[in-house]
Amino acid sequence: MAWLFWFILTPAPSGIADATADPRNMGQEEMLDGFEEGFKETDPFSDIDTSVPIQDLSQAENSAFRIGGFVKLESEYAFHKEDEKLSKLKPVLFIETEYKINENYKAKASGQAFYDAAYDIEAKDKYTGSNLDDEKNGIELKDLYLDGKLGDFFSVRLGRQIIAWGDSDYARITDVINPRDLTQPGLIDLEDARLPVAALRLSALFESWSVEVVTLHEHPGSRISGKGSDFDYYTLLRNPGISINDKHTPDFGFEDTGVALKVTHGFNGGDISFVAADTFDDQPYLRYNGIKNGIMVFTPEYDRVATLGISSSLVKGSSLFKVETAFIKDKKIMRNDFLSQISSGLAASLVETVSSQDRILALAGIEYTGFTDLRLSFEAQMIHTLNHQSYLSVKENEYISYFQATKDLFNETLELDLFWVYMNPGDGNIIRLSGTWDIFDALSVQAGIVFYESVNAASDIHPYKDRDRIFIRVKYSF
Amino acid sequence: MKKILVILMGCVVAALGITSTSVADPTAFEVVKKMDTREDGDTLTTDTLMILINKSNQKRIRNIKNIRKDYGLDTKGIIFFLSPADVRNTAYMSYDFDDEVKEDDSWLYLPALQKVKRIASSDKSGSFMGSDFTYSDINGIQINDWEYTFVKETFILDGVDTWVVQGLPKSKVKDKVIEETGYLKTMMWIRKDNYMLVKGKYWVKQGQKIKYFKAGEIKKTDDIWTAHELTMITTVKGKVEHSSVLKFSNVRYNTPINDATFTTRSMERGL
Repeated sequence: MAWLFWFILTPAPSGIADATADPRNMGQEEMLDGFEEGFKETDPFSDIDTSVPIQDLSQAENSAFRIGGFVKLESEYAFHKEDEKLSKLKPVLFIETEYKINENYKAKASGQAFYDAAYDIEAKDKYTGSNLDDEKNGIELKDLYLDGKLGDFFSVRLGRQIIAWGDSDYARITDVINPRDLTQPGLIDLEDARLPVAALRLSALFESWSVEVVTLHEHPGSRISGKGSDFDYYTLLRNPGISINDKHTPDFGFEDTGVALKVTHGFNGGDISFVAADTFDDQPYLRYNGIKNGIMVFTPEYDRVATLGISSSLVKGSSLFKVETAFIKDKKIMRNDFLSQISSGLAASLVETVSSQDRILALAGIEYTGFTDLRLSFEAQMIHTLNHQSYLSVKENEYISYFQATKDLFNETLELDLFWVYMNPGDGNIIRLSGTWDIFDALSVQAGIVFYESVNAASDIHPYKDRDRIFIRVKYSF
Repeated sequence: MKKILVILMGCVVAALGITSTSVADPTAFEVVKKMDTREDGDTLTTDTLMILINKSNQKRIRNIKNIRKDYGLDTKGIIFFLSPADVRNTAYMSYDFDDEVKEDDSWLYLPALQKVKRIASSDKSGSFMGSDFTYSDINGIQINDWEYTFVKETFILDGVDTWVVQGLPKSKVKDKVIEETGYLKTMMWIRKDNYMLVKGKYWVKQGQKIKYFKAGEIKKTDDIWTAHELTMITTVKGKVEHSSVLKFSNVRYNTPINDATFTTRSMERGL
């Protein structure tokens, strides 16, 4: 209060100069304003209350066990008048623990529990699906690993973990380890996008070179929305004559182990990484199981793909340039003629739902931070299918662009964000506007709106064009 | 090219035995250079309490661990955020090169993404983690890009004799320097007995703000003069908008620090 009082008494105190005057033209006395000898009553520092006890961080740092987390309430409202509804009312409890075994080893575990009450509130006439349990409620194990330092330059991490590779913030090109959460395009924050997997990661550093070897022992596939969901992954196939089973993921067996290698060279102003991987594809294809009770039955399955890629970032002034490219071997791509194959009476074992194709992925991007407290990011990705055939369900060249602008205001207590995804010329857009306000250290509120736009009925995003929604998230960290 | 490592990485330090009598009638640039090259130890570790205070006197508090090591004229530094919960394990690392031709390297680790990101560090005028200190305050500026003149060759401040030095970007590089640092002009109060920067006044281009800097709790630690409290206040048209206070504790100079501390793997792993 004393601080405020001081200003009320002296609205333009001589102790603090008016910055509207050109400082280059100021006289000596004017420049010294605010720092008169002894400061007296004009000392701008005199009323700054710094009465916060200094915590002994060495104690906190050395404590072996730590627990933290957050509670969050997520709510979404779909406002398109033909399908207006409360689409999410989801409390989430996230708990994270760390145990420092000794100087070289630590263990971490985290997980979350959630329950989406919107399914109950709106169930009677809005939700008709039967496979929504995973989206409605659950208890999920996130990280669970042991991390160790083996000497100065070797390290190991064993267990469920996230290993983020690649320079792109948005696209999955050389970022081949973790599957993604694809349940709500445009609504999943980047921090929630990667899903942890059971893996062994060995790292070594040799001056400017680093090597990471990863073996993958779990293949959950990217998370996709089920039947009845607003963002049903197979929405274009849903009709009474088709049944799609729960996805069938590979086992933990030795023969299903995935392997990935990354070699990175860092240099002044940039780095370059070479990635090679033999892993399971994160996205499923549909295997045809035959007709049962007059209904065509399919099962989502996963197959291996080989990836060979390069990723690089380079800083120049206020710009960060990024490039990524990868050659994908034997990607299973759905055919668009499998229903006609089935209709023609072909035996189930002869129906070809997919085709193995090689692909080239390429991405170029720039991140610009030359404007104070503003970050601009643009990435353009191309997916080229080699030896493209007309029966494939994808175009020979597909394009997707990402643009994000993030502005920090009021000493980073308010963040405004625009995120725009533009898919194939004419296919559609996802535009998200949001603001996050840190009310105090532990409590933040995020609110925003997401638009899905598409006029091309053949595009992947078209089924979601009426899914526009507003959202609010209240998060308390502890 | 020398840099003024003003804030986190260097605290505010000065060599024992350096006194105003060691330089006879120095020029303003020589004073600044002396300040810049003062002894600050080959390594430094500190625990830092960052207090962010808005104009309603509401406080946000961050606990930070700083580690810095000199490699000749180059410096590597890493900062770990220990609290509050929503920023815990965030890490910032920078390699600051003396060679003007080399761009400084900077990385940020965001635990929510579990990813280390290289970041462009040319624009240093942005707020450092929401504080009134900018990245240029933390990483330093190129003193050769500035023209220094005495405003007063003797100014008694809190009973101590100081030089008052004005800094203006050199005309050749004015636009670049203002763009990078965000500062139109600086004023520094430098103690004559130990070449410590004890007060500062900074004219900010954006928003026509003026910032005031003050170093406090000045005492010797491990035989090196050290300011254990730094304050930066941002004012607009004479009114305080926001202020930030850094309080240093567990300050240790010249303790052995493993080179492996300054790696992206170390950022990922945390403390």
